[in-house]
Order: sequence, then C-alpha cells, then structure tokens
Amino acid sequence: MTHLGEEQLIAYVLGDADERARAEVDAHAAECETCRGEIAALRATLEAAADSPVPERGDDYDAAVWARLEPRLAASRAGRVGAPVNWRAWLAAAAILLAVVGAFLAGRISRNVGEPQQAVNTSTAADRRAIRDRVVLAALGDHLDRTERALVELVNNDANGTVDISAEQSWARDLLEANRLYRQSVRSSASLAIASLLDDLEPVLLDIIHSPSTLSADEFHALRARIEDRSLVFKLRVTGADVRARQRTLIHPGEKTS
Amino acid sequence: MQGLTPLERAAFTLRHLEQQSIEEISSVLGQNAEATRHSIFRAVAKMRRALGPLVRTEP
Repeated sequence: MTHLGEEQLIAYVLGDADERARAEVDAHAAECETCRGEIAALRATLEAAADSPVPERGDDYDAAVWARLEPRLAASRAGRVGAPVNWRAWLAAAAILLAVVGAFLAGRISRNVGEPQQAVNTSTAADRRAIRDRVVLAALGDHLDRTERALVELVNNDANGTVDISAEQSWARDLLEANRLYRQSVRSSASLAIASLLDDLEPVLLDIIHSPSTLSADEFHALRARIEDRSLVFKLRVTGADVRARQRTLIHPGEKTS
Repeated sequence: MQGLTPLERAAFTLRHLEQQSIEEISSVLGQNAEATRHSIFRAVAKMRRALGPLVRTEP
C-alpha cells in the first residue's frame, strides 16, 4: 500500500487541507494503520509544541553572557581576531520576531481556522494571550540585550592607539534598522519607557555609524564619552531586567516584579 | 522549537498557536502563501523528527 505523504498529513492535522484532500486522508487512514499512527504522532507533536513552556532565564544568565562576551573582548583587544558576529542573521531573527510583535500590537484577534479546533474557551484564549505577551517581551528583551552587549563591546576597546570600529559600525547599522522597527511598533503601545529608551539609542547608533572607521585614541575617547554620558548601558540593563521580570510574571503569575 | 529557523518558528506559532490563516501569516511575514505553507511544513516536520522517539507512532 502506498502511504500518504508527510506534507499531506501535516496539512491535514493543521486543518489546512481542503475538503477533497481531507476526504482522501480520511479514506486512506481508515484502512491504513501506519498512516493512522503517523497522524496520531503528528497530533502528539503539535500538542507537545503547544505545551512547550517558554524557557526562563536562569539566575546565572548575566554570568553566562559575560563568560561568552569576555573572550571576545580579549580577542578584540589583542588584535581583533575574534570570530565575527553574524549581525545579519540577528537582524533577520529580529525582523521575524518583529512581525509577530507587530501582529500583537496591532491587536489582532485570534480566529479559528480549519476544523480541528471549533471552539475556544476563556482559559485557552487567556493562555494564547499570555503566549503572545511572552513573544513580545522576548523580542524586545533580545533586542535590548544585543544592544547592551554591542555597546559594552565597543566601549571596552583598548584605545592606546588608533581604533578600527568598522565591525562596530556594521552591527550599529543592523541594530539601527531593528531599533527603528521596534520603536515604531512600541510607540503605538503603552510601553512608553521602552519607546523612550529606543529613542535615546538612535542618535548613539547614528553617531557610531557616521564616525570615521578608524579613530584616533582621542576620537575614540570622545565617542565613548558620548555613549557613557547617556548612561545607555545602565538604562539597557535596567529596562532589560524589567522586561525579563515581566516575562517571569507571565510564566509565574503569582510572582511580583521588582 | 529551538531547532527551527526564526521564519519557521514564527510561521508555525502564528498558525498553530495563534490560529491565524495562511493568508494572514503570509501578510505578516511578507511572503506568498506557498512559502508560508512550506515554512509551516518544515517546522512541523523538524519537530516530528526531533520528537520522534517521544511520540507514539504505533497504529
């Protein structure tokens, strides 16, 4: 017996198969134990994915980030031989997450599509809203974390001679694009504190982008002073911590944010 | 879920958890419906393989 294709079965369990395709799967599955088993396995997979909790950052998150960052800083100081960061990939990920954020902030209302789920009770709707909120906070938190790490890396350059900041300018361009997208979305929501921080970030990123790619020690110190004057690293850390606390509150509703 | 690309994860989340239509997801992600279907398919197929030993496949 020829079994049904995986794509056909996935469309079926997701409710994306049209009436004819559904009838074909139903007829085949009625006589094929293998395909019935595969349908059951796919449904179990979807249930497992729906139940998958958003991982919470551990207490040692800051230490783990620093452990990853420190060797890169050391390599940078020793002659910038560290592995390049794939900022383009980060930006792509940010853009995708932004799409989800945009859908949330636009106040989209979930709709039932297809046949597997015909009714949504209050509890399930609340769960989905919590999932959306967690996606939003995760996207913003990641952007703030990346920006913080990038600025820390820049200001920790060794400025005894000339400083080549061409790599930093590359990530600043990527972060600027993401920052503008996030700011646009966040401004339409009630997250005024985050919108204000994103506003503060833009001129700094522009400053980095439009600086010469090779700076003298004096020029680098001046750039670093302009960054540090705005206390951006501190603000990013505080706001990032607040976002993570709000994430934890969504995961553990009884927990209070500081 | 961590083994999925951002595009696959977003498409799958919007379809399965948010229950958005293929057309809505395509609009949000800026791609055509066929590409969206393929992203969702790849996401489910990857998870199916990753969870293979954990989900019952016996008929």
